[in-house]
Amino acid sequence: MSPADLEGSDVHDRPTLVAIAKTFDSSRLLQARRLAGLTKRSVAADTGVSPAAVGQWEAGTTAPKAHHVARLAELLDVQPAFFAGGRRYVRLDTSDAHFRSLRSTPAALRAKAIAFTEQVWELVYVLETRVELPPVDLPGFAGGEVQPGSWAGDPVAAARTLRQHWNLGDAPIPRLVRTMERHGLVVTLVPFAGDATKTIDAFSTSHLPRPIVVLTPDRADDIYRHRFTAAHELGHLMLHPDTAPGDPVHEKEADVFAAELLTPHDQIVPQLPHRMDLVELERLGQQWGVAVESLVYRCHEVGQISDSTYRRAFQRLNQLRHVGLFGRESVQGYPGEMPNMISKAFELAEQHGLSLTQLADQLKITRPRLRLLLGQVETRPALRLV
Amino acid sequence: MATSEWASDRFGALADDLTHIVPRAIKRAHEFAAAAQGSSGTHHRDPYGHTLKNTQHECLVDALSGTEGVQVFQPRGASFELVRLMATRVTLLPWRYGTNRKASRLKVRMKPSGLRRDLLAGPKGNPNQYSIEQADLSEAEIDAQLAEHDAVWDQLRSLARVVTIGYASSPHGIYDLGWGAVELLDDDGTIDWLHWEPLTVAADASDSDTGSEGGQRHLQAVKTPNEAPRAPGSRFDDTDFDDDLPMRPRTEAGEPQHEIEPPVEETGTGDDGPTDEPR
Repeated sequence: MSPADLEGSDVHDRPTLVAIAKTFDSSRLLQARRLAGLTKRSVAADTGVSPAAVGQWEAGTTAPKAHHVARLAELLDVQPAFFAGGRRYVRLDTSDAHFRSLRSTPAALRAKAIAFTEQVWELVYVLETRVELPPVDLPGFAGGEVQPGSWAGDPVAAARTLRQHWNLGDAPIPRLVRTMERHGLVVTLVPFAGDATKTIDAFSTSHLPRPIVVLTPDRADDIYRHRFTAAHELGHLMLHPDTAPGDPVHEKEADVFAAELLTPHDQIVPQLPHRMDLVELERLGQQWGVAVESLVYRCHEVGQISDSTYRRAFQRLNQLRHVGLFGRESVQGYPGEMPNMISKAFELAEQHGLSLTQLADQLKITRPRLRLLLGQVETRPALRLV
Repeated sequence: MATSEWASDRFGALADDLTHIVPRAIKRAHEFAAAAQGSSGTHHRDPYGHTLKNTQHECLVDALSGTEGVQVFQPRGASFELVRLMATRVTLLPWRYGTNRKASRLKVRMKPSGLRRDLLAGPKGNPNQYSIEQADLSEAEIDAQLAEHDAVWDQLRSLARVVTIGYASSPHGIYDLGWGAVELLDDDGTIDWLHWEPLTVAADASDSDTGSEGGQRHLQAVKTPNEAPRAPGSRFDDTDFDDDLPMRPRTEAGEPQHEIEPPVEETGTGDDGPTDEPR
């Protein structure tokens, strides 16, 4: 750190550490710490202060000194200016997102997921100052909140409303994720928590000016599971303005919504075989883009198989799928199910003069972090000392 | 050895090749394990068993990976890979059922690991025992339910089939080798061989009788279900779709609009209500 870093502004007109310390935004520290998945204690140990001091910085009762800001930026992998106040920050709480199960996702990972979602929103917001994105067009959604209309509490009616509103007709939905993006929803599919991402289920939030759906790569190794998950999150967005993470009633409603959206009852039931025929159900599943289990469920729903056969068949299918005995098709083979609105928006902005470095500077984050948010894989070879 | 109807059904166009490749892979796995035993300096057979536990999978994967229509996958929670034939939905599972010449595959039990349960489980529940749900059903209805249950189970079997490659071996040699269909009946490891066919282990590794070159047999290509010609509309994404997103550079400064602004109704212009207009 040079003396010039501490005073005034640098040659690139970036605020210096002293200036950042003076306008230190406590909520940015919390966000960066959550993104890094670190505890206050470990941040304190690496910064040479007490955990209580870190708590005070996050509470905004005291501000760190300039040299602490430099160390925090290094430790939390952001630009020092990330901590400067004055940038638009839309804060989310873990209770603002539809997490499927609180038990299966540790609190620290949920916090990381939320901080990631905030960052995705900031990226979208910055891109949106340069590129006109598809306007949000989700029934019941306005101004960062959802108010269900006539479909409130009725997942089947909600799915039918959405099909009608989005002019999907009554045919299979060929590209669900792209359809969501065309209607202004932000969808991401990146391993934002590294290897731990697989322990986080997909989730969504309607508490931002654009609804965001975070899909997770572990479900993307099975195209049908991936599509059902995306439809499930759409169900939450339309039906559940008040999140209740892990609420079995909400989860069941979102599943019913997803089944009706992907396979409308009135269309699929006449096509179901009159007696249980898994090969025929698998063919139908390929035609509609759903797993065979989903259609077994439909067969049971309309009374074509008994409770006991349904339970046994479902259990065995789950068992076979769990162990990997079914050949699964990855989402990679279905470009329309891979989100690309954010990356396309950046491409367009780039064509009109916005570089990756400029965008990273605007967000005050590192370029590798920005690449992750954009869904880009780091292509530069890593230097390895041997 | 002529290919049986059962083998043709399970392995399709690869059936003939597999009758040679599988015994050779098991033999190779055994040779690696015997070499490990030989160099271990111990009379205990642990080195042989421990090595074979891995090499039986590795040699099968080595022999078949890269073949069209063959997929190698790692079952969830397993430390090894298995081979699946896509066209016939058959997964190959090697199992050393015995450690000496006297071992009888019909009498042994299988240690029921979670994976084996998942792969080889038979129908759950005793069809001869009535459930509470069946209390109000007539005999005919119960018979219909059992028939439905059997039919569904048969379909489940055909949806994802496992062929067990069974063998008995020790560091001194392979005593028995074959393939068939095993069903794991209970948690005690009781099994039922639904089918069994012996396989012949070639006398030497060159396998000149198979017509291969340098011991590597050329496999015939098999079309996977994904590669097979499809009828239009048979897959959900077989349709024209405009994949472009409606986006353009912004020309106006100011806050971005995320939604389409609803039409704003004029207020305060009616004659029958108060307005803020100064009078």
